[in-house]
Amino acid sequence: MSAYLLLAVSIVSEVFATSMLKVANGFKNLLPTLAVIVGYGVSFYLLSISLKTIPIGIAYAIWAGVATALTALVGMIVYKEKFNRKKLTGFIFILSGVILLNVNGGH
Amino acid sequence: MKGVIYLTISIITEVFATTMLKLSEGFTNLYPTLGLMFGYAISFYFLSLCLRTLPLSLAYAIWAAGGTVLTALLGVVLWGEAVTTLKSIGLLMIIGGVIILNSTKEVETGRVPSAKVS
Repeated sequence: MSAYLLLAVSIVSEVFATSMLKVANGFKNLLPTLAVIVGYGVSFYLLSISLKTIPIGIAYAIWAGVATALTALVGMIVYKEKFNRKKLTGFIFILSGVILLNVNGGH
Repeated sequence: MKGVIYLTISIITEVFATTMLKLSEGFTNLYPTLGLMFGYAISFYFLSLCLRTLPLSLAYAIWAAGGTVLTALLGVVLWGEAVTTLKSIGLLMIIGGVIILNSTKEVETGRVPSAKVS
C-alpha cells in the first residue's frame, strides 16, 4: 500500500478517535473509550509505517494539519458547533503555524 | 474555567509524553517508555474531560497548537535546536490564532448536548 494512503488512513482513524473522546466523557462510557484506544492505536501504527517512506517533517505536518482541520469539521457537522469568520481566521492561523512548525521537524 | 484547566493539564502531559518518546529511543529505554505511556494516558483522560464543556473543534485546535508550540520551545531549550525564521513565523501564527479564537467569547459554552450519550 502506498505510504500516503497509509498516512490518510492514519489521519482518519486519529480524527475518529478524537471525536470519540468527547462521548467517552472522561472514559466513563465503555464503547467510546474502546473506540478511542483502538483508533489511536491504529493511527500511530500506520503513521509509524508511513514514516518509513515519507520524511518525518512532511508526514507530521500533513498529519497535524489535516487532523486539526478534519476535527474542526467533525465539531461543526456532528456536534453542531458554531463557526463565524473570526473563529475561522483563528483556525487558519493555527493550522498554518502547526504545519510550518512541523515541516521543520517538530512533534 | 474547569475545561480550560483540564485542557492545560492535557497539553502539558502530552508534551511531557512526547519528550519521553524522544528519550525512549524506540521504546528501548524502560523509564522513558513508562513515562510516555503514563503521560499519554493522563493527557487523553484530561482532553476527554475538557470536552464536557469546550467545543471539540476549538479544544483540539488549541491542544494541537499548544503541544506543537511547547515541543518546539523545548526543542530549542533542551535539545539546542536552531531557531529558524520559519519556526518563529510558525510560533507567532499559532499564538495569534489562539488569541483570535479566545477573543470570540465562545470558548466555554458550558452546554454540550451531544455529551449526554451514555
